[in-house]
Amino acid sequence: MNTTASRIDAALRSLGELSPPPPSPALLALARDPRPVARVAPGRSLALVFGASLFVVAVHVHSHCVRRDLAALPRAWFWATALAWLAAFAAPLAIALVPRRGAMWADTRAARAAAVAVPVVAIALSLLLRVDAAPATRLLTDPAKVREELEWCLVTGLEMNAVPFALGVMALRRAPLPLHLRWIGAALGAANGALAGLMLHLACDVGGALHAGVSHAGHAVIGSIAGAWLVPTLARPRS
Amino acid sequence: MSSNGDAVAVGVLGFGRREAAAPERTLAEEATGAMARYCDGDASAFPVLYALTAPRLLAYLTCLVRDRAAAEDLLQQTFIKVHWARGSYVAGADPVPWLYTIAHRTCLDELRRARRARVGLTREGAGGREATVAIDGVADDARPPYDERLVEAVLEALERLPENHRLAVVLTKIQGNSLVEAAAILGTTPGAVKLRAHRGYVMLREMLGAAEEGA
Repeated sequence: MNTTASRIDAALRSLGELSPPPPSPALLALARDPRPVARVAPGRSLALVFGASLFVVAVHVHSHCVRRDLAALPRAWFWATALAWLAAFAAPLAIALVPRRGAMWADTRAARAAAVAVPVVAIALSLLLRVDAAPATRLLTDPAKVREELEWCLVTGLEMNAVPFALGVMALRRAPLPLHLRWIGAALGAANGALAGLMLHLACDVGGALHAGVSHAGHAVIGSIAGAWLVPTLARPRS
Repeated sequence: MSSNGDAVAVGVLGFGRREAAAPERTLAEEATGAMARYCDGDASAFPVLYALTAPRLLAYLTCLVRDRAAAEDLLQQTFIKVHWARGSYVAGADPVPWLYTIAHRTCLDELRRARRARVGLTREGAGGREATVAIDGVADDARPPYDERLVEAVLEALERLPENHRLAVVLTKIQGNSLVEAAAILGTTPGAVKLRAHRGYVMLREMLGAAEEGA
């Protein structure tokens, strides 16, 4: 059996490298005159997607009005939470779009960590560090009204995210990518979920743990899953 | 590497035997330098890049399609795509994982095209394999460096593995990439590659062991 195993191992090793044929005439013709080319700039793609996404958020907040309980909320909490949402958007977006040093594409381990951490942290912070300034903040008790507001926030967040998500996918399509994109897609989706959380934090004046935890932070969960599911299909390069 | 791997071929544009690498420079470093110079328009960089990476890519493609002639065609297409896509190269990055992904996608495209055309790309569908001759004039088939029948069985068994397991086995056990390198190519984590490679390798050994004992 040992002999068999070693023969199998030898056969496997023998397939490690094979003597290639010379380049074809068509390939040689191309290789003889390689004109200098401009390289992709992942940092520029990141800046474009980031800037355009914030512009979309600003347009949506403007169209839906800034939350009406803003004056009653602690200013430090409001801005710290907004910054946390912004960081939860920027960090996974950068991980998904900017290759790690010396590599052609994103670090999959970092992408996986971001895709898991952003939804978990978003939900935890929405539940634990929430501030409701009733009566300025609306605390709903009617189940029908609760469901209606949940739906409104979920649908509005998804609508707002369509353009930033498409921009992120387009940036990925222009970049070199590994064979499997699930974790990179999940990181991009989680970033967009956090962007929706940011927009809703600025625009929605409904309070309560259920509302904030599900319809605001829930976008990070939806984004992460949707990114893992959609990005491998949408961003796959046409070789 | 097989003994026929020594005969890389042809002197056109400086293509030839791969120079023995200086110990302090790895394949990745050499390929990075060659790719950067190629993107900058240096024609002399392409033969270096080809000599450095083509043997591994050809072996990888052969493991995917089980047909040497088809793999050689795919290798040419892969480098043509690399030429046109060189603007996507990220300065300073190791291009080897990228070359693997281009080779892999080229292979998938070709398999899809072949399926649509109802022409088998594998040995079952294609005609008999044409014997290749290395630069020293000795036919590859005339000097089997390994058990040809077993290698054929390995390729057949590889085809029966689940895709994730097969790619992990090919990249680590056959091609000798580290777990980190294989994970970079596949877009997954080293831990996942390790698990898939181990499971794939066990399955492969069982299939081949059974075939060996049955023979």
